[in-house]
Amino acid sequence: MLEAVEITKRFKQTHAVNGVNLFLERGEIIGLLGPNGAGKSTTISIISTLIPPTSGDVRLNNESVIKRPEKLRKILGVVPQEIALYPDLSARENLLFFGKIYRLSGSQLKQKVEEVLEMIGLTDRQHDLVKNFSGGMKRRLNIGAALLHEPELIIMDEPTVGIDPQSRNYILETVKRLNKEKKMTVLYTSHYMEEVEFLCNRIYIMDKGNILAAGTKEEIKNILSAENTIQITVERVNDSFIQALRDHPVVNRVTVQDRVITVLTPKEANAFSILFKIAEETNTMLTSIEIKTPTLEDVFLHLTGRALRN
Amino acid sequence: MIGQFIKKQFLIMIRNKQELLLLLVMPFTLISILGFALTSVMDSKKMDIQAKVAIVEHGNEQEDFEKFANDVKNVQMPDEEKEFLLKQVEKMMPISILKQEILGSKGLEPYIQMAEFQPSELEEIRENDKYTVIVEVPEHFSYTLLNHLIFGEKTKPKLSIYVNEGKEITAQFVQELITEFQEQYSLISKLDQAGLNESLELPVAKVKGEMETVTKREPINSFTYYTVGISVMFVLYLASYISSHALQEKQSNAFHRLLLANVPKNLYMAAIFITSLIIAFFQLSLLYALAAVFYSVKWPDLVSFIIVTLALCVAVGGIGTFLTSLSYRINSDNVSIFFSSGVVSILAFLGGSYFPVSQMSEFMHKLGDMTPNGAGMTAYLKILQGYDLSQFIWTVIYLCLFGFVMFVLSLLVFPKRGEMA
Ligand SMILES: Nc1ncnc2c1ncn2[C@@H]1O[C@H](COP(=O)(O)OP(=O)(O)OP(=O)(O)O)[C@@H](O)[C@H]1O
Ligand SMILES: [Mg+2]
Repeated sequence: MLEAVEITKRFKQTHAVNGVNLFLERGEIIGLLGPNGAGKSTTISIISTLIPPTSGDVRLNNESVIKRPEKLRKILGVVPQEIALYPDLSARENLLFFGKIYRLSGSQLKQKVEEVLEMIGLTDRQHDLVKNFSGGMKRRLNIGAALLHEPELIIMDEPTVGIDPQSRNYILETVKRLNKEKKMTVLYTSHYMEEVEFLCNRIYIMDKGNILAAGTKEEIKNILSAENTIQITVERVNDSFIQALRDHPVVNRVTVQDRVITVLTPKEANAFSILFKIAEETNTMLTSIEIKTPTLEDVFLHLTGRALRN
Repeated sequence: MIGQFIKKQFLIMIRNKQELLLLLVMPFTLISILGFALTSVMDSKKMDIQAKVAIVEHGNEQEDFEKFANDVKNVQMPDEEKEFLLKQVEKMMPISILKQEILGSKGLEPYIQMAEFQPSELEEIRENDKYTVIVEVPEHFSYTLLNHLIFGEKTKPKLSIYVNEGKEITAQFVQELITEFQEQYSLISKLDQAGLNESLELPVAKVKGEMETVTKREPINSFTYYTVGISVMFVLYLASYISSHALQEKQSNAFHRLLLANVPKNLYMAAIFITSLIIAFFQLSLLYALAAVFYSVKWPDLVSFIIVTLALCVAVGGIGTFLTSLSYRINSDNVSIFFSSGVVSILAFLGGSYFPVSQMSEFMHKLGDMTPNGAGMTAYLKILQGYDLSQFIWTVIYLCLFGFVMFVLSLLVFPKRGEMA
């Protein structure tokens, strides 16, 4: 349906996006995952025709939308990362305004507004000014404003940042529902693994302007199939133990967080006996040791050497 | 769709008490303070229409008449018509009328004192500072004028008028009288020429009537002056208010929603223009309504008042759009802040919102009239003094042009997609 081909974006020195390829099939939920500054918002702005790319193309059903964005815009809803609303208008007034901008009118507009208010759970508060809303309510309205014209495709840029878990679940459920009931295609940006794992059929992992990995959850996790992730909890972190782990040839990577040490080793290595041996040699007391199934977090760690959030 | 933008801006405005305060309460307070405080200053400066007019004739009008009469004798027309024409013309010799019925008329006695001089004295009276205006009648003025008006001769004679610098305001008044007289004179004689057999009415009554309205022009009191001065100043703040809201619209990405809804940028700019225009109209109307109720600032000609107000609002709309474009381009509110905290004060000073700067010199007067607020103020004051719209129509046209030029400029300055920071 929609694809981005080798798009790049340069802001003076910054290479915000570096040859990104990405596609969306009708009815899918796609996740775009990456840490701060990865280039997610820039990618999305290009795909949604708000900024032109430095090079590359964006195509809707094989037609470029860079020069003629109108067709895409008609079927597109965008939920921007920032709250793009008028704080001095009420929730209802905001929706009415944006609905009219989308050339809705009369009873059709009224009905859509009621429907959206219902969907985002703000019917009771529709007459309150947005500036008096909580963060979560603003987020919900920010999403609602993109739904009035019943887009076939919705692009959401971190729609859940900075809100309580309850509102967050509500939003995630809403996205799922839109996808199921209205057959809406979704491009969902986030730096929360759980959200993407929960929502998405396919995932793109992005960092420093590049797509590092793409595929279904399983495909991405298979990147780690050659390795075991072993989590060791120790009584007291002992520098010589860590150093010995790092120095050992079969250990690929060591990260330490409080008393939990995460170690990546090749599948075939006999990791347990090696770890026990090192512990004994360095006088380290282990309280637990387990092999973990890899998470997307681990994949990210593997790909970038950094945690997704710090 | 533009209606939506206007509605939105109104809603936002009535919910921002602080901004309403700046746009409405503050100017009204200033009008009150300045009006009271400067009552004596302004009112002692009542339009000082005490003009001393010197008139210097080269040649003699009686001789001109005889010469004209001689010419008429040789013209092909029935004798009784010739006779009738000469009788009428004798009654309306231009310089005599100017001297007796206009500059020396009873009705204008309180305002104008006329004295006649010989050409030999011209140098002397020009050196002398006593006379506000010197009218010099060239040789054969009346003869040439009659020939021009009645027989359609090309040459149109002109009175030379010297204005005493430093007494421009009074002088302007006299000049206007003379111009008015000349216009009326030619107009009426031309009209009557078409049917010479009918009576040839003297223009005196009409000219006198015109003059009476001129002389009756109200002196501007301090409340009236500051109602206009402060209103035209504060309507400028509206422009920066609009542009700063438009920038918020961009920075909150609400503008992105508009783009995504395929709202063309020209439509967006037109919406900003019309919104500014309408809100400015409301602001001015409210201020003037308050001034009318509290300080009896009454408008003699409501139609002209509305036309001038609209023209001023067009100019404000242009400024608002232009500031919006600049703000979008540099992606900062500094443009609006610079305008409202610096430029407005300068414009207000030049335009005469604080005191009548235009009386300082002709240069300041011209400069002031180039500012939109100054032009608006000039037009408003003219209405209040009883002038006719036709006498300051250029000011109105200037304001509209100013607004449209600004609007077009803002379309050019507005960043294209991708240039937007
Ligand atoms: N308009 C701009 N001008 C200059 N640099 C920019 C601009 N927009 C983004 N960048 C830079 O491009 C890079 C990518 O930014 P982007 O906003 O796309 O990241 P992101 O993945 O959305 O991050 P976050 O999770 O924090 O929203 C950053 O280094 C950012 O500073
Ligand atoms: Mg972002």
